[in-house]
Amino acid sequence: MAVVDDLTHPPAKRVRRGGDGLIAAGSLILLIVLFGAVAAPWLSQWGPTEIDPIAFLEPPGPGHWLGTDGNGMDIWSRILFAARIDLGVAVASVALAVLVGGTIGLATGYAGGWVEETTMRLLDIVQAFPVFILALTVAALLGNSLHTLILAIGLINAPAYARLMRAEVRSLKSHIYIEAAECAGNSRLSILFRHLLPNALTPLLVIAPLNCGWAILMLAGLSFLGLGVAVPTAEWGAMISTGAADVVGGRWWTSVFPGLALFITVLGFNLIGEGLLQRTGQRR
Amino acid sequence: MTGADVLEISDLTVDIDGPNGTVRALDQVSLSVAAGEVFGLVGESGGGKSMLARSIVRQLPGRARVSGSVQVDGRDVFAMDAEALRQHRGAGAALCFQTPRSSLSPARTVGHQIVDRLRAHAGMDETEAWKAALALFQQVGIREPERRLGAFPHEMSGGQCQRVMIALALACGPRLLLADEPSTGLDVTLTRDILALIAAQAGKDRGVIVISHDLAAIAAICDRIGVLETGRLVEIGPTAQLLTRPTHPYTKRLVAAVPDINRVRAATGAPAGGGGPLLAVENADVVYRSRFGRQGHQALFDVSLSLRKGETLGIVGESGCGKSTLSRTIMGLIRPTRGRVMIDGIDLAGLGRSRLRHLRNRMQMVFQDPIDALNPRRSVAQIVADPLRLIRLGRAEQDRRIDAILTDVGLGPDYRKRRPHELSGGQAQRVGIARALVIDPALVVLDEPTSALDVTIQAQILELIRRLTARRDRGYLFVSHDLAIVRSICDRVMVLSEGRVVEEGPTDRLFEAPQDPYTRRLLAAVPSLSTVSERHAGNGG
Repeated sequence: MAVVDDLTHPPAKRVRRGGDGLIAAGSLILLIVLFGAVAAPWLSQWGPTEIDPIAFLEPPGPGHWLGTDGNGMDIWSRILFAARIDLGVAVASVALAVLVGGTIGLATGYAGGWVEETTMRLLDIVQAFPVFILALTVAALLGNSLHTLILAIGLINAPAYARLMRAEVRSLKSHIYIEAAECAGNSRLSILFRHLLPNALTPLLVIAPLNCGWAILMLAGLSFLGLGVAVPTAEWGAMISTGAADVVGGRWWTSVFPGLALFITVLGFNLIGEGLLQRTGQRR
Repeated sequence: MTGADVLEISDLTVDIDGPNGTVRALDQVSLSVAAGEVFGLVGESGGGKSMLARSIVRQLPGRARVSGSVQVDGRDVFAMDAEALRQHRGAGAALCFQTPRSSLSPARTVGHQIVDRLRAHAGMDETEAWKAALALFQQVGIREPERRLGAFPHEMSGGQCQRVMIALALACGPRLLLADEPSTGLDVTLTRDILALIAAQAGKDRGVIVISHDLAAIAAICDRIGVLETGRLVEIGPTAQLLTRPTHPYTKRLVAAVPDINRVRAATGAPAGGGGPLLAVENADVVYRSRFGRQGHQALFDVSLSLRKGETLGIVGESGCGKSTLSRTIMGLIRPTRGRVMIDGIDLAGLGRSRLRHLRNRMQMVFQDPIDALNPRRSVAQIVADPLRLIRLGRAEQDRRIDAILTDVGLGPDYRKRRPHELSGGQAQRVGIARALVIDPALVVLDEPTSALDVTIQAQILELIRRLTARRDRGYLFVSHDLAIVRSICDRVMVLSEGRVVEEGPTDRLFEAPQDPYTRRLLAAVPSLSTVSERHAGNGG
């Protein structure tokens, strides 16, 4: 009997998509920012809240490379130390959002029925408020420590992840391999975490870097309005806020440099996010 | 009855540049089709059948490079300017696409879509066009044509959509009608009707080309058949000659792979008797509830069956008859609304989730879509090992079992690390079978295990299933719409129609002396190469 090529099928080649350049550029930017944050004490001779009593609102120069603010604090040093807080809050809050939102979406999407309907309507209510107003309210209610800021920004982003995860799980549920998993004797937990989660996670992880950028902007926005970190702590948004008054008097360096740092970091996150979107084929 | 040539293809070669180099989709294909002739084009997926059809209407992918010529009605298709090509696509050659429903616009009624084409191509005014559309609908055998003109594609069945597609193709009176896999997704009886309708369109001014992977189905209507293998036309000839005296090895393989309804199950010893039934379904009703519990759809009515160890029971019926619902009910994926499903005398409906889960080492299932049944993120070894978590085994013992079962289904341990996207359909189905057997279940439900596969691959998977069922060590439930396959595999057959059992009995008795008119109708619609070649021989070729 003739033997056919059923058993000699070549493995499919991985299709390469674009986006690699964007990811590389974004990663480079973030690595530089991260290096600045980690090596902050060695990269500047001033502490972030250390006051130089003879230099108030001094323009950029040899003593203070990016100048000083109205309290006599070194801007360069503050920008470096602020990166620790901004990066930390961004990553932690997005991780929280992915964890909380992802779990809600996974569980409700798989459960279906009234559980899903009820949860989704509740999330609708949360999402009906403008995001920033909601963040303001939560931050104002909980007080402005770093933990509450992470909590506020994380929880506010969670519904979007819940929605994304639920949509993903719902479409995955109709695949036969989920039914096959049930037939193979997997428990519900095993189906959720072994079969659904690994397949549903990609879109969430692709969105996460973009969201880190937004989280930094949100933190900066809260700080700008005085609801962010406590006053002397170095944070980009707070620095822009306090420096904004000085711009009028021609002292541009107090707000422009932290603004640039903020801009570059968000750009880094967005480049990675955009690159991932292209690479996973979700955007051309 | 054949007239002048309407299609003349000579030395047609199509190369397509892809990311992994150039692929030769068609290689020096030459053929001609005369008016009044029905020409069949067969071959397996990737053979270039659709590419040939697309060459004729000049709808090739942008990166295609073409040499050779395609002439329709004496005019070279690849030399046409835009306007001539536009005319050619309606009045020269018209293509019926493979999936009619997705080829029709979901946003417009089918009547509008035909009228649009008539007005654009034939220059009719509104009233003329509606009249012509009505005539076309009558011509293609759509019932209640006036009412159906106002229907949207989603309101029509697959067979009706296919008829609309044919009407669309006929709208401008093409010299050549091309039908690409017109029977995809249709039942045996519908397939026969649609193919007859397409064949009837060949006439004194028109030739017809039917493309299919199903040699048996189109053999009945074709005057001549061409066989495509990886872009090459390896054999071409009158149907009877091709079926009875194929010369090329690939054609021989295709002909041999066609399941023959006259092939009976090889004797493999009687099923082991004794003891109670392995599986018993008693008076099962299944009602699917709609969203708010109102207006349920009843899929099964009072279905009963029993299966003993060592026996293979076939369940046949057309799509929508409740076959899949029945197999899913037996697997405990759906609970019957009324009645019982018993495995080894244990009623599934009375079990909690956890008890049911542990009963799954007694029963396993093989699914219709082999690729989609495998989790894309997991390796073959992980997939096959999935059911083994029901019984705790040591690492070494588990690996030994996986290797043994992979070898048993014809793959071998080399496949352990592959992912589903690195498998062909046939290989994927072997993995699916390995997963079902690895835990050594007493009952295996095979739900249309070969219907998504090419015919030669299907023949190989069927050989594997025959080998497995011949061991008589388990009970097999073989669900299929293909009667020829069922006959060659099953000991007993049950015929389902619209959720009810219409007939049940030993395979030979049921095929030779069917009692129920529905069974008779089903059997009569099955194409068979032996009867086809006799008929063609009788017609004098």
